[in-house]
Amino acid sequence: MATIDANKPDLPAAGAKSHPLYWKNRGFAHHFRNADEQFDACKLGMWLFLTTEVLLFAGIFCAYAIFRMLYPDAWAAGSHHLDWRFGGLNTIVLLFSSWTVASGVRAAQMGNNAALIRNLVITLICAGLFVFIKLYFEYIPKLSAGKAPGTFFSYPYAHDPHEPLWWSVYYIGTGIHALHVLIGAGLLSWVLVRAIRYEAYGPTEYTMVETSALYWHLVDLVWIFLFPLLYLIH
Amino acid sequence: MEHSIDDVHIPNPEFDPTDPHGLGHGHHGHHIITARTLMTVLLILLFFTVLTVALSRAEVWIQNTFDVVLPQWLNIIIAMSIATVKAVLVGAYFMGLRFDKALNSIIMLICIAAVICFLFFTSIDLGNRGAVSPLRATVLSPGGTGYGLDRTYDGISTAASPRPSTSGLPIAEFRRKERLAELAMEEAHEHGRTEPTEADVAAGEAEFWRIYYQDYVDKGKHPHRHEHDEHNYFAKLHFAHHDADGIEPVSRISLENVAESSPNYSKRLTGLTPGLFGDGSDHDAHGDTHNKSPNDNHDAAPADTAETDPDH
Amino acid sequence: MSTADRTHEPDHDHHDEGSYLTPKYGAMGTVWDWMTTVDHKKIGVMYLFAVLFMFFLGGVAALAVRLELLEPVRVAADGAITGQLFAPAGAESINTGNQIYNRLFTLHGAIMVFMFIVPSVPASLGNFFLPLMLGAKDVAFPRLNLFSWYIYVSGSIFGILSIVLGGVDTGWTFYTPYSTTTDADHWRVLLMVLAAFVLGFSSILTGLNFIVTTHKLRAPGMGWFDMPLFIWAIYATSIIQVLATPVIGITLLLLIFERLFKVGIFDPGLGGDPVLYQHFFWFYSHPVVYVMILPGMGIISELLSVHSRKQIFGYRAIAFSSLGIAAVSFIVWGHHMFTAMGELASAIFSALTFLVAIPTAIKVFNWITTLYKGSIAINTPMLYALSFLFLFSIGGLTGLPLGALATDLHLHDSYFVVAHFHYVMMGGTVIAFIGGIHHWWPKMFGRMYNEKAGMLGCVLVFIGFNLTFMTQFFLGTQGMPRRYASYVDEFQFLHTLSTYGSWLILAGFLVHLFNFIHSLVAGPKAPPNPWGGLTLEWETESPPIEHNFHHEVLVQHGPYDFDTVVPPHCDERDFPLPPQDQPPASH
Repeated sequence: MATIDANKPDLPAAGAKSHPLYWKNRGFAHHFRNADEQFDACKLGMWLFLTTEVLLFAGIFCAYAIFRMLYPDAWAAGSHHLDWRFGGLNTIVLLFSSWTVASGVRAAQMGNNAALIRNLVITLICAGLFVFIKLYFEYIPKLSAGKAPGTFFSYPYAHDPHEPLWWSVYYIGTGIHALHVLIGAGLLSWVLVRAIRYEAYGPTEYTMVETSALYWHLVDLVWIFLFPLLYLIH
Repeated sequence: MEHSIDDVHIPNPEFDPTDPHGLGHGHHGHHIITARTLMTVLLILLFFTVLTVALSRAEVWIQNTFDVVLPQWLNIIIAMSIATVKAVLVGAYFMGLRFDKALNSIIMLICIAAVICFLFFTSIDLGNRGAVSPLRATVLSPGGTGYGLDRTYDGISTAASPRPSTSGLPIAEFRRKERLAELAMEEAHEHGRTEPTEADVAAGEAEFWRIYYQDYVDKGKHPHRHEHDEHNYFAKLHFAHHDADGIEPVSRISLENVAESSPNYSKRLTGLTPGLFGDGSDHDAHGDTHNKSPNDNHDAAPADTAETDPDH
Repeated sequence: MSTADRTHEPDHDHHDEGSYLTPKYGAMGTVWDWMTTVDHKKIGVMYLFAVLFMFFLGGVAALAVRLELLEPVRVAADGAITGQLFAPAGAESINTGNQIYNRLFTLHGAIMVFMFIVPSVPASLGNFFLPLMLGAKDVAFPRLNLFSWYIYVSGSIFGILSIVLGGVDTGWTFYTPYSTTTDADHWRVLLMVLAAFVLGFSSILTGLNFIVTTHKLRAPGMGWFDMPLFIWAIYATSIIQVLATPVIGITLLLLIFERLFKVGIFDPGLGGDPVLYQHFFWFYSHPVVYVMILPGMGIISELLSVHSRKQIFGYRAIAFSSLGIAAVSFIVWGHHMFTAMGELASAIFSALTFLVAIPTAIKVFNWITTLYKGSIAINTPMLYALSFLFLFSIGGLTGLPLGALATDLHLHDSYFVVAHFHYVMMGGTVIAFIGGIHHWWPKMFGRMYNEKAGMLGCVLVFIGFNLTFMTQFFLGTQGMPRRYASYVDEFQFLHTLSTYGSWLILAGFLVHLFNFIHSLVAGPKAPPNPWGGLTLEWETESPPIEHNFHHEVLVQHGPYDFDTVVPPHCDERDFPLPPQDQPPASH
């Protein structure tokens, strides 16, 4: 967190090793006793932040659970409108990207910058793929068929009167999740840029890789629950 | 001296690059997970993904093939258990909780405990309204009435935040009526009429229900517990076990009687806490309209359709 | 008490460093320095002034509400009911007075809850003293700390904007379906909800920062049970902030979706459930009640111990009861909605609610026992601490009939509830906060305040407070409902007393205000340790230097070892130890 990343001189690639962001040049902030303590603090902070994310999604899961309890038929009917193949594909995409990002952390720990960059690029491609599948194969066809949330609902062939509510929960749940995918992708892009430009991560300095990766895994975790709840349970 | 956190300690440059900290003190070594472990975990996760999908499909297949209805909790238990196992794997290995300080795991466990409290106590309320006193059940029903968007609130103008008018119908039912009118009109235009006749309406309705059940025709499946074949269309669409004399529809749940789609419907009366929507008398009147009159329509509509529509 | 003998890398020593308040780089430079500072002390001071400003705004609204209630209902010639202050008889718009009244109490509630009392103690005193008391140079994430201040400011700006544009009349709870359908306030409701949403992030980040700081930045030699109880309280508070606040985030987000897009989650017309909103809301807002009171309790633990020169009684019991309150807070939210819930859930929540009484009572008993045979100094912080004990006990005990399902159904939405939570929130948190400000004022600003003026202010606030709110208990039991601008004549005597009381409170706070201004301008310079405290903040200068301590702190005594340790920077003649032949009075 607190490190020398102010006043970056724009060094040419040849001088990268002298750049303050080059991982061997990194120190730790003055209020920590050593780099290890700083790393632990950052990781603890990230875990605490992840709990807030979990509780944020808990609101959506709670709405899902309550309305499923009240209107099981609407939820079953709604679930039938979703194609498990796209949900499953997206699950595989996210799991795979979780693996690449974990491998990226490993690469940073081993000091293998090329592998870190490679893994991050694959992860970002997966993020794009996820959002693309979500938008192109799911949101757009469904919305144009009128399967929209709440008062926007205009699909005439509803099997249950509470289907508009199902779509509300579906769009809010997956929408907020997709937003988190984008935020996670943004974080990882930042890591990627720093890895490419400054070789900023190595065995002694990979805090940002680790914390961004944790965030990405959380996005994956949420999807692991959203997928069966939305696509499989009927 | 300025207070700045950028005032950093630069570690000794002569450090061992394989040492995760290279600072010579205060570190305990960070666990680097082997590539092999990561790959194994990924494969297990993918396996579980396939498994959960397969089990879910298998359930559908069993229901369709053997004509049985599996209990809903079965599906939930299976899917959620597998999801939990997957989540634990991601947490333990990808996120490194297994090799990390115990504190991080404790934080996650506390967080999960809070989530469980949230879900549990909220469900206790919404799942048990009127569970103790039948008297209270009449004034505390969970969920809304779904009676559409035209209710006004006493003395409160909602002009700046308008909701579409659905003529007092639930929105799904309103859309269905709209579509039926559209189809009848199309039918009329086809025959060069400007106003749909009764036959056009019937033809449009037949077309509507054809599309409505198309899904089942295409996939060769039929509704079990979720779909109630209110018009006995499955017999007409030649689903084998619906053929014989037209099986009596399971129940007569229709879109108009929205409160009936609630599982514990029989236990309680419809409606919401009266205080929320002005006086109770208005509420009762509303409930009556929607509980009784649409049923009559429904009894009539499918019979007409079945007899007049030559396609079936 | 452990004395760490760990060898330590020679640190930056800050021998000749000036106070953190010393201006640098000229006038504009100083402003810029404060705007971009990552120093927890400056951020704490900025928070202090921000929350006090919000307290002032909310207080003005409260005074206006009380003024309106000075006289009962007026019936105009056409039979329309008008309030007496805002729509004098004969006014054309029949409901204007009531509408303004509704906006005023909403504004009072929303400002006081979201912008004042939730961030009050943790973000101001907590920010300033948590690292100092831990012997750390800063909080774990200083930039995040500054960021959270800016989030707080922008959230407050949204809230103020909403008020300036005409105000909101939903009540601070934004209950659906009213908040999703009322049209008079369309964009203003959104702005106010957005304000609460944004302020939540500030709260989360502060809590997160404090938890990490407590875990990672304790000075060498400071174990968990060597921490001052204020830190325990802030730690428990932070846990609640981190765990509960995200839920209000998603709740308000859903409310915004509901209002903008009519998604139906809380809309009965679409099958949603308005009471679900209340569950969501109170899952946050009940725990947040303890976010408000726990830091106050932490302050009281410090004040009572230092100003009676006694080892705190039952250190661990107080520490664990803070955590106990935090844990229990997540399973009792239903007692806010007894009239809306099914009776099974109501009964369960009612039973669980009584659990809160246990850790709370443990604290009160321990505080009183701490005072026993102490050398009690009668000064402003101590007076405030004693007021707290009195007022908070009343507030806590009147919570019991409200937690009991049967009596609550009767007292629900009456002035009894209003009086109860004001006794806890104001009689508890605000009193502790003002006491804490007096206690730490010399440390924060390096100046002493006038003790007599401080005590006068405290007495005025205490009398005024009881006059204002004790009467409301009686009003409530007699049937005066909340949130009405007018009332039947029988209630006028008590309402009048209550309004007079509010003016006394105002007088008390004005005395404090002038006292503080006088102290900043012309107060005598404060010694490093005017009260003889043993916690680490008293070991540094008053005001503290930029990097808090000249050397890295090595903790060698407990925070309350008044029996055995001469306080730092103090003379034994001023703070004598107890005679050696007499065993210390504590456990």
